Amino acid sequence: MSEAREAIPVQRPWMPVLQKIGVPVISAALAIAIGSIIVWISGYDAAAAFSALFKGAFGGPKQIGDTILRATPLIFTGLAVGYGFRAGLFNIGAEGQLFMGGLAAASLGVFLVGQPWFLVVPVLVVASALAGAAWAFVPALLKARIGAHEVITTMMFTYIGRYIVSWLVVGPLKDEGMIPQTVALAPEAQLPRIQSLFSADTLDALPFLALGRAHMGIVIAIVVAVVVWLILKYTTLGYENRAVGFNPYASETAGISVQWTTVKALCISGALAGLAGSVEVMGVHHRIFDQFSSGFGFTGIAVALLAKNHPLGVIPAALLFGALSAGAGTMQLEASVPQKIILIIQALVIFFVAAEEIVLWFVRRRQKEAMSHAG
Amino acid sequence: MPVLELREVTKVFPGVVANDRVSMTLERGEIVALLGENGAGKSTLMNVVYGLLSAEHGEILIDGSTVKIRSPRQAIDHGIGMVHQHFMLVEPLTVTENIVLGREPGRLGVIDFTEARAKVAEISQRYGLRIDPDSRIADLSVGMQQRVEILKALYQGASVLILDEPTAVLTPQEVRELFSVVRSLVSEGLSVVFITHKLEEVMAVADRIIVMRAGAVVGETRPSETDEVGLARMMVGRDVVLRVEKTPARCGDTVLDVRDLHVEGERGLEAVAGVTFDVCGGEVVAIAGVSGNGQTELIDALVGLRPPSAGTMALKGVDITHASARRSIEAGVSHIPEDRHRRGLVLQFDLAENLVLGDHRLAPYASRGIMNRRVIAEMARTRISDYDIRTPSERVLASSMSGGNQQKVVVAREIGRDPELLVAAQPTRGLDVGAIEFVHRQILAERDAGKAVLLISLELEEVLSLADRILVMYEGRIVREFSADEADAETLGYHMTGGGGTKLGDSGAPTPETDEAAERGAGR
Amino acid sequence: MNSKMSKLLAVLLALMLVVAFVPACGGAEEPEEPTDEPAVEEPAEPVLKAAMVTDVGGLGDKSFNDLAYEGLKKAEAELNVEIKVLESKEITDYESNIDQLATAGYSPIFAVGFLMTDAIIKMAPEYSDVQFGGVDQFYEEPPANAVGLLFKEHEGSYLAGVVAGLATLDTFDDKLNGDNVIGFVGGMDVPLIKKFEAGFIAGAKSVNPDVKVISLYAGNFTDQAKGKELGLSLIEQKADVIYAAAGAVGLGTIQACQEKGALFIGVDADQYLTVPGSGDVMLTSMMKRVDVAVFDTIKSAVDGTFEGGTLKTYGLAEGGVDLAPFHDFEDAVPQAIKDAVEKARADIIGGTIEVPES
Repeated sequence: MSEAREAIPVQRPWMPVLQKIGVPVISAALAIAIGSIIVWISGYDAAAAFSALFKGAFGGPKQIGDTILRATPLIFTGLAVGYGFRAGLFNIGAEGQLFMGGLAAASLGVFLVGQPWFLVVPVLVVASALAGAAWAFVPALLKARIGAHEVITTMMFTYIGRYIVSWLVVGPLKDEGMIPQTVALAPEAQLPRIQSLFSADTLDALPFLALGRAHMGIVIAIVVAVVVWLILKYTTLGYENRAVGFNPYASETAGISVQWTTVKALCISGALAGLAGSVEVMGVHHRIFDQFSSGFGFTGIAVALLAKNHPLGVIPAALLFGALSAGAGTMQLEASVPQKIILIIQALVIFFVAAEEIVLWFVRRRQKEAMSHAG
Repeated sequence: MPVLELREVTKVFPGVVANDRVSMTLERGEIVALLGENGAGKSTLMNVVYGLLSAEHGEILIDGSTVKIRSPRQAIDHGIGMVHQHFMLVEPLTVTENIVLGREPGRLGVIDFTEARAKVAEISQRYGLRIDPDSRIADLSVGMQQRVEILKALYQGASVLILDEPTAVLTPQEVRELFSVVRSLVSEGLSVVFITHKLEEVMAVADRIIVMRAGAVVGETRPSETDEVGLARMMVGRDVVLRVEKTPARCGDTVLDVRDLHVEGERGLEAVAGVTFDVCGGEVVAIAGVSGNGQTELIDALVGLRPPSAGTMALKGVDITHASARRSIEAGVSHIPEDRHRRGLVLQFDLAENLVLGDHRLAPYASRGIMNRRVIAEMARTRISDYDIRTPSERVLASSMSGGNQQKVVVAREIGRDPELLVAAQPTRGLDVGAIEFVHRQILAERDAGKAVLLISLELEEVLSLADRILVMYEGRIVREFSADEADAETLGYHMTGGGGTKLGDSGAPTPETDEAAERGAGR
Repeated sequence: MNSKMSKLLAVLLALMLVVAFVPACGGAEEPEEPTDEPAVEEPAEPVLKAAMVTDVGGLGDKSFNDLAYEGLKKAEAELNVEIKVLESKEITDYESNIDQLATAGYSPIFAVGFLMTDAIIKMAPEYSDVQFGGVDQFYEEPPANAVGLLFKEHEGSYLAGVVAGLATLDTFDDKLNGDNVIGFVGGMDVPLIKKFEAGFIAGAKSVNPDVKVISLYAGNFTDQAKGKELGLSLIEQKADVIYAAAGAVGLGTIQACQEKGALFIGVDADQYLTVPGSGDVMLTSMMKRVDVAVFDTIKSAVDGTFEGGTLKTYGLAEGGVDLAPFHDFEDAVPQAIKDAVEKARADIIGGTIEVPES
């Protein structure tokens, strides 16, 4: 029809991918760099501190197992928050949905005593997902029908959920004894530790399998992350979810129900958060009590941000937070650095990820320089 | 000595040379139009001058001396002001507050609002830019907001004013007002760079025209030395048909049948007050009218985005009065939305994802909730070549494409779906002549394939060029119907602005002509 | 997600972190950093390496964690042992912190708080040559190398009840009103806290049978605002002496007492010393001598008399619970009250009085 008039950008498909991965990596590195300056200023040996941190997180199979253990719930909550973000929803209440998921697994697990594990485990996992979804359903409905902001409503429901659990563990569901907690799950309702699946001989031959406390929840987490990724990429459900997240007006024009998509997205997000509760109950504590989650629902926000809401990116992001948490003990033990320093480093990671523009500015400046040298 | 001179300015984006050794001058008291298609590099060039981008090579001279401009702040210090296409105003603040923002008079952080108001009033007086300094931005019309932007630049001491596509968002009336403002500015000694791709504007306002194509200056001329056809040729690089040829319509069965439709607007007021019309297969029916006379609400109702409060709509005999947007699409209604950024595209989606939007649940693109990305990609590649979308691949994000290409994507999707009825709202808004010609040809091709087309446009030129029948809409009613050959711009304009009819709520008795219009238009 | 949203998030997250930090720091001066550096001129090799794992409250809680650390420091000074503290940030840290200390050769290792009961039961068999002490931990079947350190909080609370029951009848301070009402603020409605409440009520009724005791529960151990609210509510209902067994919640109750005029009885530590500026309302405190229990246990390990597989209960007789001095009220408090306390103490130790636990 006519000669090409518009300058067409050269395709470099790896560029955006590199940038996508690069920014979070640089953010994490900057956080650790500034963290070490803080450690140093506080009068500790920064090199010793970080080598202890690394040792505590990756020093051996047991340490790696500890990192995995801590990353497992964060993968689920990261997925939960990330899936919500993909629909333009900020599910700040993943913590509450996690509590309800944990409650479902802990309470239902007691009823299913005596059933085979291949029945009990899937039932509990599904039940906790449904419980999480149910806990997100009312905020979702309020958002869709009357526009009540999900940040407020899911947060409110977090309080309600936590207090329900608090009440149940001192009241109706309380185990005998002094401690306010539910009855422990029977072994068939527990997620086994990975190392328990192998014989002592195998573990001797393949020592890297002796992953300490890491349990099968990580396998569920990775499978679920892949499933979420496939849903977002290959299904109409995920397509509509993303479309509404990016541009609800265009979605509405294209015949996508924004309200219904919102309800689905928040419930799926809640289901994923509920799964976090189930792995903590079934894999770690084997019961529920008032403080069984250390704010995994909130850390999930940071994980999702670091992963840029990508379901597969959530896995390394959760592992990073898991590693920081696992290494904190060794850092205290060997370098006498108080664990609050770790909190500061986590905060810095979040800061640099959230303040992505700062990192991008550095990246762009480098690109600019490179280009002016080339040109 | 020119107030502004550019020498060999080169700006490179990754993989693209946006400006290729561009040189130009601007004299004191002169209006220079920078004319070119979307993506020709006009805005890039001016963003370099304004310090938003930095050029790889070249020099900028102000009053004959070389300057380095690294930020808008420095540009302002050098007396350069720029009004962007998208305004940068703080909506909840007042006119005065916005104008002085960043350069507040006063001391120790306390803003002296009395002084600020006086200064703003003085500038608005001097250049004849009348405005209420205490209005909130959110309450102002787009034209008035633009005026605030210009005042802000003047307040900051601009002697060179860059206007980036200033008319894109304005009504014809506002355009005329803007032109007179621009003329009064240059008569006060300012110089203006006017970025545009609209030929008639260039002819109307420019002293000198610099034409850009593909990042380079391809020519320079004056309105007295050329005409629109000549400019179009320079701009596009080939002959352009400004008004597409068309054969007489062959009207088939009635496709869309609208009876006594009432639709409520945003605040519960009746925006469409009982319209009745039909569109048959093989014809283009245009609804002409000044913006805000119920067209938007009518379109929304037709495509299922807003439920009508009364009346009926039928598509090929099937009632679609209460159809959702989804059912409406599935019934065969396509919709080129007025605002493509907001309603037409998901900018963060790639081309293929945008091209399947709305059809994404249907076979062969999806079955049982699983999308077939291969089929979608094939469809996208076909559409890209059929509709001449300029892109290296279907994986490119919509946001990285030029406005013209984005609109082509919407057109390709909505027409490519092969609908029964095409509702095209402002289908060429913001497009350059080449793209306008293309969209017009596509709409006529759809008509010639026996489909029904309902065109809603504020551009009379477009209405006259495409329509077989024209319905004039005024205050929510169809006040007049014309056939293509009996209409001309003046008559249309007269009826569009309420001439020949009474205003709603007027106490005066209706004239005979209004009765006739009501009979023909509303057809009761 | 657009950049506006990112920015909003950054601010939100920053706020959340600040909120998460504030209770951790206790809103007061920084806790003393744990130091494992041996004193500059250590005369001899330490006889053993003792360590503790805090619960998520961490050091600076002015309660069990700090108290246990006091016991550790006393052992460092007097028994020539090397000490170490690992703070826990989350529940998951309990096991790994115990694990690391055990691997590094620390023994005995103290786990502070009942939430670590499971962790000790799991870890003790894995490190059978390490000695463990569980503060506030009750074991059905104590592991052979662990000792559960429990306290007769009800006995101490009984003394607090005696003080409160007599004080509300008295007028030695102008904050005391004419109504025969006292208050109790509990953290959570759990058996442990019920012991405090039961002892307090029994003590008060023993000296003032007509006294009305109003009990309110916060539902957690951290919400200071809730503590203040409950305190104000009690004062509204004419209570003039309030006893709080509620962790940080009690700090809010102290504020309520200061604002509306009531006397306060602290808990766990001598809160006159740990809550600066509380002297005007701090009548006394019911001290749970975790430091004594920890020190005793380390001493038994040094002496070779450590008795694993047992539960050790510290009551008034063992010096494991006690009433703190009256401090600013020392002169004001009538001798009759002091005498009544001493009599109750003697009767409990002598076995004449059996204090109810619930």
